[in-house]
Amino acid sequence: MGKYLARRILTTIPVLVGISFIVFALVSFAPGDSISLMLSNETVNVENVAKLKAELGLDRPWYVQYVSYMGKLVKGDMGRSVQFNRPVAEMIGEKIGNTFKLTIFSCFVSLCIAIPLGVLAAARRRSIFDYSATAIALVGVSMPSFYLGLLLILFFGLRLGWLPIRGLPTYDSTFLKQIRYLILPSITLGSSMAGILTRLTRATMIEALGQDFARTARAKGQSEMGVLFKHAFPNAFLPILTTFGMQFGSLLGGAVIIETIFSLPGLGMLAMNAVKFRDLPLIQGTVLVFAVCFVAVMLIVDILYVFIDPRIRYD
Amino acid sequence: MFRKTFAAIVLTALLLGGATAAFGATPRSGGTLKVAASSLQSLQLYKTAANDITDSQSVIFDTLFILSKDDFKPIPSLAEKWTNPDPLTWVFSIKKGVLFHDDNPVFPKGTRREVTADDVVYSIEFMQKTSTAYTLGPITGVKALDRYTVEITTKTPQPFLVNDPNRLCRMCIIPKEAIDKLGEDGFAKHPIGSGPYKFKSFSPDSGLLLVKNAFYRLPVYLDAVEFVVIPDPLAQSIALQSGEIDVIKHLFNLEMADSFEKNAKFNVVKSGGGSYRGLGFNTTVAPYNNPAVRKALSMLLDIDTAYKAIIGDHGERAYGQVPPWVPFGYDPSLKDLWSYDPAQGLKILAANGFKDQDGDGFLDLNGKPFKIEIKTLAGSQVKALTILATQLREKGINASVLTQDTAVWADDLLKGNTTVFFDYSFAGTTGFHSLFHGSMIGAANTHFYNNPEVNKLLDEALTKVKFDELSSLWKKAQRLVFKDTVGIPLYFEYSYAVASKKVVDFVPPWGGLTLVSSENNVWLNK
Repeated sequence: MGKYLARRILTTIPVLVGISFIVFALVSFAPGDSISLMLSNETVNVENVAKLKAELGLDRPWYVQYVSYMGKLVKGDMGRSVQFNRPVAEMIGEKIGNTFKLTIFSCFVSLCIAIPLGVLAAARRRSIFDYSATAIALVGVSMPSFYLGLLLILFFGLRLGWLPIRGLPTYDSTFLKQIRYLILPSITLGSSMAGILTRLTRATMIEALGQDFARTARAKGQSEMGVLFKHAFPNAFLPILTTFGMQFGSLLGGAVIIETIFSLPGLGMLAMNAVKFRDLPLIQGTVLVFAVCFVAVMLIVDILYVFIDPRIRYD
Repeated sequence: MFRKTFAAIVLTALLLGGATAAFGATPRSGGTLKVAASSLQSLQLYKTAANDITDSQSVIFDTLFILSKDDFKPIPSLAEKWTNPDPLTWVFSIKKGVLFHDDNPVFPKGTRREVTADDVVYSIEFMQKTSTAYTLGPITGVKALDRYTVEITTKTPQPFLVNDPNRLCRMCIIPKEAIDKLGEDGFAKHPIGSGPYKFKSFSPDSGLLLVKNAFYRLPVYLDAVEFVVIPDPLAQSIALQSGEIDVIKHLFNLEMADSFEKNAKFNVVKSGGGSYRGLGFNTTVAPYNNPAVRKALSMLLDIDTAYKAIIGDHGERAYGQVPPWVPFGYDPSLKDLWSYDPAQGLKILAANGFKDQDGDGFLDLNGKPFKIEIKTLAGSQVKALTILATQLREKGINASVLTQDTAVWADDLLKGNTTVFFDYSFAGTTGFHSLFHGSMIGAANTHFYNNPEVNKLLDEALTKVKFDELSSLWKKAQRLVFKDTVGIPLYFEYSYAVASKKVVDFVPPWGGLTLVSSENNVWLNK
């Protein structure tokens, strides 16, 4: 296992270097840059912007800038935001916690919805429960998240006044208070994932319940609940775990709309604003963080396989 | 009988007095004002002209003067008065006894650190050195003449130093010790000023909490001001209706202004200011390098219909770049430069090589298909521009609107890849100079327009302190610019703020957000 982990971590390095190169090149060649944006502002101080351009090395060829950036990155320096003149690492550090909170809570919500619904749908095939679960999953996948978010805000936030319409309390943020604030954005973000996982759970459970071991368990007098959760579900769980891992990674970066609607200052919004302003160091920083998180999540999923299915071993 | 009448009169007077007090005639202390902000990533001074950042800073820091909400003329704030003994010299006298905030990492609680002329000098030099978003112009020297008097000398006369919302008006008074001790980054995390509210806590893109400065030179009624970050305009509107915030200081959606006006729980406050909206031409690219073609195109546009359909009462027709509310340069006679005369316009185009040669219903230019692509940012203007493009198509010009990402839009403009574009700026003041002076090519002058006569008038205008002299030169310059049809003025769009009815005396930001001044003092009537 140790060798496997070391190998996986080492292979991550060229992946990250490749990602950083692609992002750098794409942004460098894309039309527009942060300096142009500054200059288009009618109140701009043209001389100081020119100085800033030189200070940040933005007047050098893109490949020279890239090498310089990577040289600093190796030492842990992610550079400074062009727009805000703040260390990128600091800006990411302020936001990453919020994104993780939202993503983890969303995953929790989606699992709480998907697993029971999927198992029930599989256990009661072609019943009202099955059809209802399918319908709920379809709504979750089909409804645009911004629309669902606004509906929830209007109903639970404005009409009933039960829940806050913002994603995070700014001050006096106890754990329970933060949970309360995260309910609506987590349901919004988790609904799509819940839909996907519900359908997947149903499918894998149906397959597992049709296997010999399930029939044997029933024949030996195991209760239906026991067959479902002691025998079928552990076997059905691997594909669910894989999909969950991939969805988790995409949730990290895909929460931009949710963060905007619920005023939740996270990495998604930071990345979007960085792209809008062509703030290259900030774009690079956020993309690399997303990439590292995604790779880490997939590694954790691979490790969990070993615990869930004893047949799986890594040399 | 007399006693009964007297008692009735006394009782009525008491009731009226009580009612008057209850309805807010007397300001009440207390409460936290919650103001919506779209983005508040950093409190770094002078790095961005983003409204939310500059509005929050204007509540923390003092400035030498503010602009009047009624006529936008400068009125004293930290400065008691100022004089212009010669065209190159400005002398500011600042108020005595003004204190920087205490109870922070630089000035412990109870510290009485007075603001002096040296602080003003330092603040000006700091802005000159670090600002990318604003410029003070050619200041050659700044020095303290005594403890409360500052002299500023300029290379050329600079009336805009005090007349413009984006020059000295933006200069925040800061203590040198704070920058020395905390550094620029640290100071941005814990700003220290002498304004009516002092920094308490900041969570980037989440919220900023400011508390009352009990030692401010004017009464401060609110206990605290909280800037609550809500990026989405619809979410801001919902938050206001649910009571999570009290004020939306910049209402982006004009349709929301109408719906809030109908709601008795809110006040919609129109800002005295507004922005200039127009169509601009890149005057170096054919056929737009031909003034006759530009003129002809303007004659094909029924601008009144277009802007009224979209903006309605939320703006007014523009005939020049300077609106009526700017104290200098407004010229209503520019109206005679513009006419809706499609027949004449088409005649001029025909004389300049426009003819439908391929029979597709659209004019071609010298045998080649001709197309106008109006490049714009997203916003309320897209609808108006779409109507104008439709009008052009009806007249046989193949026109369309292309909405671009901000960075792409700016890049295309600066590189001259745009021919016809949405033109916008501050209405009047430095906006006019920035858009049309030859020296601003490569920056805000994306028309690439360089008329020596206009440049001369604008340069001379920069030397005039008296509004009537300034006005006369600007009117001449505007007439030249628009006779050349460098751009086509469309309308001035008003800006609005919406506040809960309990918020009293709120004024929409102009050159910064003013919550406490000689003209207004915000309080909450609960």
